[in-house]
Amino acid sequence: MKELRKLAAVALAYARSVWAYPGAEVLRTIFLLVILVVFLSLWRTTYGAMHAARLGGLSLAQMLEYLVGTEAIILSAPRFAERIGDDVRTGGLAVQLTRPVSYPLFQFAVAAGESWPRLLLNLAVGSALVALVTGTLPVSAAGVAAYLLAYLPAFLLYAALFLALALTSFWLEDAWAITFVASRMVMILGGLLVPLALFPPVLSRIARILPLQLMVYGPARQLARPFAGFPSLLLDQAIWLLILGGLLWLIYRKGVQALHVQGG
Amino acid sequence: MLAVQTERLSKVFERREGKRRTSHVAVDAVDLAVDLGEAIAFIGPNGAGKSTTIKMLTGILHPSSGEARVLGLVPWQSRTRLAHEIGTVFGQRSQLWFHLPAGDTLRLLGAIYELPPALVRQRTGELVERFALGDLLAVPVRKLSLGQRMRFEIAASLLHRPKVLFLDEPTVGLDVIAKAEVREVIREANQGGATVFLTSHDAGDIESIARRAIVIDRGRIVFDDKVSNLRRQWLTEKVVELRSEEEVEPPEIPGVLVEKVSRYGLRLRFSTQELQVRQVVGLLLERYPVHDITISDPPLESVIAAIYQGEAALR
Amino acid sequence: MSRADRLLFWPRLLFGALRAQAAYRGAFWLSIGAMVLNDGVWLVFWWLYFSRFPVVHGWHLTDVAALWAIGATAIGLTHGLLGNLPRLAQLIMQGELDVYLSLPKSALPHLLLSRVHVANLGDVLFGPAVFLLLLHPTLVRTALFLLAVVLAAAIFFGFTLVLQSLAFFLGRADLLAEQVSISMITFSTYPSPIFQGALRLLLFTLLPAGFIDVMPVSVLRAPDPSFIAEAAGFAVLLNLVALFTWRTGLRRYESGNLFQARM
Repeated sequence: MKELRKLAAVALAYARSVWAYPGAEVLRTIFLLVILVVFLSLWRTTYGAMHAARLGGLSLAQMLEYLVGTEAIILSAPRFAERIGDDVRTGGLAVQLTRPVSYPLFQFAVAAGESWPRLLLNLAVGSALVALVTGTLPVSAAGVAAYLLAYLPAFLLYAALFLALALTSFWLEDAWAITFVASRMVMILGGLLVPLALFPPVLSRIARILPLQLMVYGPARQLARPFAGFPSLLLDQAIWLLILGGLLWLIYRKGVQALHVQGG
Repeated sequence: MLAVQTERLSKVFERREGKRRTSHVAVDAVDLAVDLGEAIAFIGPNGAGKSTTIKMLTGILHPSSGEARVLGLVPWQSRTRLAHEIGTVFGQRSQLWFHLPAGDTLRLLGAIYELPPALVRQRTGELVERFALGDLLAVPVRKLSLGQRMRFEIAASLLHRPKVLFLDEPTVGLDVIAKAEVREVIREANQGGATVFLTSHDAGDIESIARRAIVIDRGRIVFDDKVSNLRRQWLTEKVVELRSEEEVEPPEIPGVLVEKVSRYGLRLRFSTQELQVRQVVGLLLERYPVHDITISDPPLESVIAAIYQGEAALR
Repeated sequence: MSRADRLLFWPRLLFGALRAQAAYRGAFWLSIGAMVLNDGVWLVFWWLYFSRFPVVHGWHLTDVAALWAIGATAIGLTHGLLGNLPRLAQLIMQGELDVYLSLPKSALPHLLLSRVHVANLGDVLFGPAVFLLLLHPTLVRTALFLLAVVLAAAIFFGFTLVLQSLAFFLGRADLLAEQVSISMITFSTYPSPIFQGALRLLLFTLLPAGFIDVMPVSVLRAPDPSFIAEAAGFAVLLNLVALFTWRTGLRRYESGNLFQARM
């Protein structure tokens, strides 16, 4: 309980630091708007060329809102590799490790504090743009509720995976490359740009086996189909959380041992 | 021709904070004249305009108004031509390639200054010997200590035998031995004819390198004279050291600070604005059977510290 | 020192910059590999897309592959080999130009060739590889590909230089420059016909990614002399504006003075 209160305080402090520079946060949404405008152009052309009102069961507005849902998650996602790489290079890690709070949990709290406000901002700005250009409100209250509920475990999954990868900088010079590659895997197999429903069957089957779609596709599809297949989504997320959480714990323990050997 | 000459040289920085525009006068109508071969110390509190002045003299910044000539050239108009003739060390900014051996940077600088490779090798050999850096030429810079790195920085700035050397805090962070070496080399360069323009917090640097001091405060020159006069004129304080023939009790004279008490000795400090020397000495002679008494100016170190803290005013 | 020696200085400088980054051999190749993979993932995305919707306004998968080949090579040359170009705003803000300005070489080329950005070197490998492996390189097509790369690189260069030089005038311009830069790159990787109306106008003026989007068709597939002339003219103009911005900005350069640190 005490531990939890500490972590909440950390998260809150970092959340506040996000809002300390509102100008910078607004600038950060530029890229979200650009990607939405690009995909609006691409999908509008595609829907027109196919003479279809729905593709993969989604209307144009819903397709764009799906993209808002995925990009909101990815563009607000924590960047562990840079922060932990800096900690290792500057020796700040030694200080961090002596603090009376678990290092991985501390990083989770920091990530939550920075990511959650940004997610909400992205979701609001993106949805507003979609509503503006398509003239329809692309999402219901139930959709947003289901999205946010599924986002919580999705965030933990994403954070566990990328924190585990970032911790490899305890051994490697730089974990940038490995996390960059992983983020590209999330992009394609997580359904960042195209919903899994539109994948060729083989690829769709592969993507469904992997946990990446639980981080992005899973929550984002809730926006169009609130609570569809919800229990099984949460169950899958819970199972993978145990697996990735275990992996993170293992890597962290080995990493700290490695640090002790090298003398930090 | 003078090494450095300025006339009402000024720099104003414009700032926008939200919708409010503010301007900050960093350098305010500075007149300077430095002869070829001089060694001057350029001192003042942080933010007084030292770096801004040096950056205008090296052509990095354009002034807001006023004129300057360095070796007869207008720095910001003939930047690259001037750069061939001057050397710079900015203590906090490295010109060395971090991941490569320093020898590579020296070769590259040779190419930048358009020196023939044979001359670069010869000069590198001399400098490396002078700074005792021979074994380190092939070591990546990131693996060097701060002192070693700084010696390479100064060696790099001397490679093309500059006529004027601008040194901004060249001994910052060095140990005593490295400091002495760096000073020695700067002095040698000065004796070889190079004009030295030095900024430093370190009284030892100033005392051993410069003969003339220029103090700048809030963008204006407030002192320009010999270093020895700086000590006498800057602080309005005197230090009195006294030896008594009997054991002493510290005196209680208003305005006099007791710095140190020993069995037979005292060290006192007072401001000549509050008390006159003869008043204080009179009181002391009355009270103690004086064996010996000396009255001196405070050490240069205290003077420099006071200047950098922007506390003391000129008498 | 001869004129040739003086010219040889620039490639030597670039070589030094490459060696400095390759000091960590493992990380060097890993970063390059990661970027190649990234570009590859985008081609997979387009393969996914075209496997479902075979033609968009006359564009096929090979046209998008050509767009990526041209764009990646141009980005690799301007943001990879000239590694300081995309971080110019940051260098200006932090007063890092001081060192270059106190040396007797032209500051802009000196600074640009002093650092390579390793990841974008992957783009320099990826672009030509895609062209050679997937896009039927004949002699004529290779010449046209190189022409497209030169034009695209010139547009990226001029655009990025203007954008980053804004730091001289605005102070804190690094985040703005970064976001606009990513936007430009993003727009330059999609088929031209999907952008219509006011957006299309924007892409041929303020955010000139439109010129690059057209290249797979108007330079490579069916060379259009009038488009090539327009793109070349635009590139020249843009670079003149960029040099003017840089030079004007340099007069206002404030170095990393104390006053700035407070902001």
